[in-house]
Amino acid sequence: MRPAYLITGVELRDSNPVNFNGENLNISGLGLLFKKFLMVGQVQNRMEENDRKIIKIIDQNNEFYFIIGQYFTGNPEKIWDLQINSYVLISATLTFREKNSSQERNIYAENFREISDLELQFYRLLGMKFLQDRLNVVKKVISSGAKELNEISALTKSNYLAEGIYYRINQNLGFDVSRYEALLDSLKLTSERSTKDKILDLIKSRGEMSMDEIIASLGNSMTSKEIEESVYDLLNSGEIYESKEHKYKYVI
Amino acid sequence: MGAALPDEIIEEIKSKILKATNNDQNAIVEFDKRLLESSEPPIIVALNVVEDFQGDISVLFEGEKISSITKEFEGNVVGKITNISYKEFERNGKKHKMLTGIMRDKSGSIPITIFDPPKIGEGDIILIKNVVGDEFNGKIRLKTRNNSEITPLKRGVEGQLELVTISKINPDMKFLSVEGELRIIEKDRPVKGEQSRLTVGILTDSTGTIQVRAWDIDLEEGLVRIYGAYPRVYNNKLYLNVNKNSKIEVLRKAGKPENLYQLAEVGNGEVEVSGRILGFITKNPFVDVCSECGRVVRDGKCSIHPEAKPTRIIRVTAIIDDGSSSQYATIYQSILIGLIGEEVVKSSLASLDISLVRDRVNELALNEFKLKVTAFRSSRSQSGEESRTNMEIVELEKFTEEDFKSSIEKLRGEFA
Repeated sequence: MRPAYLITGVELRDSNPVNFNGENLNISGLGLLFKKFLMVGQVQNRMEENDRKIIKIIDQNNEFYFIIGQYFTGNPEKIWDLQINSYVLISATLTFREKNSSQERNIYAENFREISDLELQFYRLLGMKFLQDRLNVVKKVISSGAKELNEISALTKSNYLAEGIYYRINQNLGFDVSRYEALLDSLKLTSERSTKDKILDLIKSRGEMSMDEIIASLGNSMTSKEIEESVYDLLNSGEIYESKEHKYKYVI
Repeated sequence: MGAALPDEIIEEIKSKILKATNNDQNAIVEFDKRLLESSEPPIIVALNVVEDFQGDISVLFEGEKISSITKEFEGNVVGKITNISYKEFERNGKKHKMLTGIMRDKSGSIPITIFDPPKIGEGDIILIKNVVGDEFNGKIRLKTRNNSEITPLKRGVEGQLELVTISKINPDMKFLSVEGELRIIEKDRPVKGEQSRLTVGILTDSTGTIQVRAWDIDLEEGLVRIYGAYPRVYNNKLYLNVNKNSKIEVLRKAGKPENLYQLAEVGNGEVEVSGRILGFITKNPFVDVCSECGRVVRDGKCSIHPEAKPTRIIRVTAIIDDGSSSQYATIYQSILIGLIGEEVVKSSLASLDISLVRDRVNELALNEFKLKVTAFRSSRSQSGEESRTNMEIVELEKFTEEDFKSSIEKLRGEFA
């Protein structure tokens, strides 16, 4: 079966419905064919409208409404346990249907789980890696000039990945590689920045902290190595300074 | 078997083989044997035998020994051509090609110039009729004339050892060597009324990809080096032809499956992956298994151990996903106990009520796990149902904080 790809909000927003070999699927700008997907996002709200339970989730400034409906496999009532602003890993199905000569897009949640800061980092990075892998595969296919499905499949080492790329090539849809490269760069920056911001916020709130204290406070959500590297980056960029030996303070 | 030729011609070839190999009777025995097995012309079979018996191929083709050639020479020469280079020049408004190289036989070597040559590759054995001797800078050489006839007798594969990257391959190249990861997409297609069989693969290196068409030889998936492939253009598309004269070296066989997608493709084997359990299916969870062999028992009896008492166990199906594919995989009781505890499993078995197990496993949905999964292909059923790949989780461990931290470091390393 096709995997439930871990995708970013931008890829989900930019996807369009396609019928591939009789299967109703969605295709992303990089040729990812999918129906089910995984996403990490921040809970903005959970609500009940017209007897339908809905979770509103935000990812990279993109808002999505996940319907708790026919595809949901857990207990629907658990949406009320979700904390606003908490982060979730959510599995879902994206569907389209014709309605009044336009296409109505619905996202049906299959399951969700609140995740820790550490898991959030992991899934964010995993999502970035999948995006980077897809970009590399698309660039490889473009540079090789491969057009047949079996040739593309040999490059992607997966028919699932090859089919969407083949579809975009044969429908002359092209690939917006530079747009997704820019997205990946911005995700990398956001990921680095969020670590540094957490350290800065902590030092600001405590006034002065040693490396050991910072690691003790944030060690549950990030690795010691990551904390050390970020502290040195903050020192080099002049955002903190070493007030005493091995003690760091925020530069006002 | 080679085409039938009159006996007197075969006898004449045999007498030449004897002359070329200093009357080695074993060469004749070998020739007779190969003639029965080979589809090549008898003279080419003879050439291979003489070469293998370290004989003199110029005797076989009644060519002049290279060491005897003078500037007055006019006649036939046979030998291996190496150190090939090409030049283009214009004469009377017409473009011409000139090949220069070295011709060798057992007696020696001589430089040669061939005007407007046919397709000749490094290491080929060629027969040139009506070639003449010449002198240039005090050195004897050979050159062809308008009435010279050039016949490539045997393609050389060992000559051009310098590897070409795929992006550098162009239709003007002759024989070349190339290395890359080969994946077969079609095997043994009969062509030309089943006279030949064609296997098609895709060769990939870091610079690109090219289709490989192998005629009457086997291809094997993995990292391969191909010697003596020749580019062709068909339907405006460049591909590489390989045949019996090419040599294919498998540097590394196609590896074991690395992810769930590959495991499903191969249909059997084992893979260790990190992935998520998307959900569980708990329909028909109670089954009877043989207490001797653990196989599922039908009609209350094991077909292998009919005396053994069946035992009732619980099994559930997990939908596992590692980003390459989603698969249904069975979790048998012993693994299930490790996941949700013995008490829950025993209580469910005692009451034949799965709800307790279902609630507990569902709590684990969308968690990250280290999984060891095995696969086997079920045989085609009697009702005609296609065989399918069955998967089973044989080891299962939920990600710990340390697992997340080490994975984060690894992922960060990839972006560094």
